[in-house]
Amino acid sequence: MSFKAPDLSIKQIYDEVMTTVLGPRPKMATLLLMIILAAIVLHGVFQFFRQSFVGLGVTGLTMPVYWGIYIATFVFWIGVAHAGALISAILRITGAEWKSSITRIAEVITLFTLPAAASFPFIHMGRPGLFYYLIPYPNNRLIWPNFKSPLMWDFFAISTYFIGSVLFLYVTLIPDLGTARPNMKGWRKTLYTILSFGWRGTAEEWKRVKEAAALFSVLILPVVISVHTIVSWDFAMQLVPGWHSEVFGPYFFVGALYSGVAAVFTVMTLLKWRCGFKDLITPIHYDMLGRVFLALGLAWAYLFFNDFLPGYYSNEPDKMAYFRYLAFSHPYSVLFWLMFLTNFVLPIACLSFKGFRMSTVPMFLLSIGVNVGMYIERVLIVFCGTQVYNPLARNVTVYVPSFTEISIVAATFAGVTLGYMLFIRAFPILPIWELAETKIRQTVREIAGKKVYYFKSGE
Amino acid sequence: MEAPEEILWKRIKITALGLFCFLVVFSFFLPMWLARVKAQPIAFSHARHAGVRQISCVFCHTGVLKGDMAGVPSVKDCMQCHQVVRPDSPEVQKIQEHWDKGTPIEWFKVYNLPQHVHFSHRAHVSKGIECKTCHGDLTHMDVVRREVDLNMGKCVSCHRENKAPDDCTICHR
Amino acid sequence: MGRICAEFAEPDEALAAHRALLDEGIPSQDIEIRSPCPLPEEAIPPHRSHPMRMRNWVRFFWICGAIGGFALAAGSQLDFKIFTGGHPLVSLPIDVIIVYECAMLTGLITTLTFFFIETRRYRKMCPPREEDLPVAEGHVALVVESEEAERAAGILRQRGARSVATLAFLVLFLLAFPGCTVRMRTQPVIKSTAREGVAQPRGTVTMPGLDERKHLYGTVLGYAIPEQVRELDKKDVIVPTAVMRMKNPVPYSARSVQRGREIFGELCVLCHGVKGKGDGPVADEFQPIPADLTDPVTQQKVDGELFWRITIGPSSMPSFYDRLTAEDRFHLVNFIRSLTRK
Repeated sequence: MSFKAPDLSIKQIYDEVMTTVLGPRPKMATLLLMIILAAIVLHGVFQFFRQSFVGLGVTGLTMPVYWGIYIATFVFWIGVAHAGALISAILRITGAEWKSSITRIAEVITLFTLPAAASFPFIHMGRPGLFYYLIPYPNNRLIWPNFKSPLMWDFFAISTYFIGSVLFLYVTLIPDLGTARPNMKGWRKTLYTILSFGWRGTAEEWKRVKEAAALFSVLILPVVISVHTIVSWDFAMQLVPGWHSEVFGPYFFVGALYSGVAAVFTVMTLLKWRCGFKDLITPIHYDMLGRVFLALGLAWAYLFFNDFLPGYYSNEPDKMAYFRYLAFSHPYSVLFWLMFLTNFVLPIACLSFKGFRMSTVPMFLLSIGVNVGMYIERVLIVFCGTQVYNPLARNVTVYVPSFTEISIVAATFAGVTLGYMLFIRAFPILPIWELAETKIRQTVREIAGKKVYYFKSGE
Repeated sequence: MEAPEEILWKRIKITALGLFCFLVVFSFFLPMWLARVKAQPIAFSHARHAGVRQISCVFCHTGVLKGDMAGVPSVKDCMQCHQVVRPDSPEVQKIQEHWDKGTPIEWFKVYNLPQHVHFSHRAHVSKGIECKTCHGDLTHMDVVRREVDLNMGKCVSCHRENKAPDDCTICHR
Repeated sequence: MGRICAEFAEPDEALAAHRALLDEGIPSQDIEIRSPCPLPEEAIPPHRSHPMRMRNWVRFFWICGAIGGFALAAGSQLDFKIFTGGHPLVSLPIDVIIVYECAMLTGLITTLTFFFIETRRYRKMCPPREEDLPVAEGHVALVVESEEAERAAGILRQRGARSVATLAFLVLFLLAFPGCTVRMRTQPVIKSTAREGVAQPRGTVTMPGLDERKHLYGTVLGYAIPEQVRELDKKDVIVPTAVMRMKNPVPYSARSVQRGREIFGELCVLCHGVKGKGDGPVADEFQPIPADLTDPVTQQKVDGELFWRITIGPSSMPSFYDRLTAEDRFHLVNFIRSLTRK
């Protein structure tokens, strides 16, 4: 399994990548789509303000389900946000050469999905203006946050991850901004001048960028693992039978990587079609990332069954009631078996074949299927956990998301898409310097009688 | 002649500084301005009544020992003394007008707790907490200033000093 | 002192040219290579290099962050007594989480900070010129600054940039939030429990009608308060005969006198004086002057009449029917009796 870099000169790589930034103005259809997305976002913002003034009564939340679609979407977005760290950090550390086309695509997914995720605890609050009570600082109330609460851990983990991933993206973006700056005009010139920080591209600067990128990879990887484990503890620390599970930490983490890779596939394919990165995103990339996808799918399936099997063997009544509710009750059984199909049956069956992995359209459809399945999984965990566990009163209220909730959730989806579209117009979406580096690295050359490798693996 | 980029930088710096100033004003001075002490309708002097004449606080703020609210004296309470005491003073004439017309005096409330805080005057005063602990020494003030900032830290620290309970539900219920 | 910049389309050519310059005798310190991607380090003799200590600094600050996180978690657990009723709350797993996240955050931020600091230090050593820029469109450039600068080809001049550092936006973002909380201090609250005491509208109280006060404090022993009292016109108030005849329902005792003294100290002392002589601090303002309570004229009055006088307030005295309960007024009567009873 060897990867061959596309046969392009640095100039050709530069030209191809910069078409999205410097290319012709977007078509009417694209502009229309952007306007529609912006309208959805604005509507969501309006609904959020309405909710925060009227109160959480406008949502469908009521006993026994008090964590609704907000929390489900929060977990989903956190999961998708893991894509950036996985691709950038893990592949950078392991020295996988095919990473360079994918790294920034994945990091930008993190850049937009993580704020979308972090906004949900904020939206879910009764008094969003007081979120800063979570920050431990010597305040005039003489009150410190309760460190026993998983919410506090969430706050620390998510803010660390967000800051880390933004800085990571920025450091790897600096050289490209510096390289592209002379060709820019207008507001882009201003932006690139500020952000590139006087980049000149000398050997000393390159040494430092590589060092910083290596350090970031090493530092951010454990943070990623901690983030979703801590998010899973939000559930696992409760005594709800569907949630109180020891395996939730790794289960959520693997699920997050699974949905993250699926999101990368979706975005990658769209970029390949819309922006014409035909030479830079090739079937080989699909094949390589597809193998990772398959491995994650198998791991997810193992942990999924592992979640149920101990309860099944011991025939624990609460856990079995939860499972029966998921699998056979009216509204949720359809979703459950759909998730089973798109998350387990289809990916494992299809991804085993190299021909499938290397074909674009089926992979695109499969990745969307997995994302839908992962969203359903989060919805099932969040809704059904408390819906079933109802020991005090036989309260039969079935949670249905209200219009407010749906429009706010839709606004985050629209916001992420819109943000991505704007980012593509403003910055190079593929890392030029990493692509060029990969290409140079693959040629062993002789200079002044000395055999020179680019750099040793694992550096 | 400055290079265009230097002009650009100057503009960016000025914009950032302006934005910063605006936000400081918006987030710091605006709440302060909204919470300012407005002028009272009648030039009532606490220094004259509570200081020189040594009238006890309870004489006018009758609710202090009866319930949660200390209470502002009604027009009738003012008039009971002032129909005899200096009825010719211009400020007393204003009270007389209110009494004749039957309209209330719209005093400005200087110390105002938000409604999500439960505070009982009786519980504190009957335990021997002096008025000036929270309201400052009014016997020297002609016009009442907000001398003590009644924030949560003030409440909590005093509760801890006096070994009073500091559960959340004591005040927020 | 000349200064030239030569561009090459391919890194290999640039490196070869660089080698050629060295062979020609130009010192390697004078040649700066600029490229759109990292080049093989082994091939480049050092330009002017500065030792890179980023990794050590990150290690150092990682440990600092861990210590800071531990101080935060442990300190707050010792300080955080609200939910625990005064007992310190120490929990190791929680400490580990906070320490871990703080250390990681510090490490990440330190990486970026030292990336900037170290590149800046290098740039100070080789300060940028007017025309300094990274070379565009994927070319690799050699910048030579020496006496013999004429030996390279393909000169391109462009303008340079200045460096910048502003992190003020984060601060601004945080500053914007105090504005959001104004609403919490002003909005109305639905109370589950009724509040005791005098109900007050916003800002002030209205003039209470007699009926409201009756509801709060009752009538005076079944007699309605005379209309004159409400109108502050008390000249013609007549003491009802039944009141004149009634006996004091509160027996005279040390306890009752003590209660009466407390009330006297709050409400009466300002006119009638500490000893009841009618010489209080505001007595000189009243016309007719306040009565001397130790005077036989006062003491000869029956309990019922004293009670009634406190209730309605004869002539210039305020009425106390709404401030004192009937029982408290009888305590006061007992106190007045104690002034002369030695």
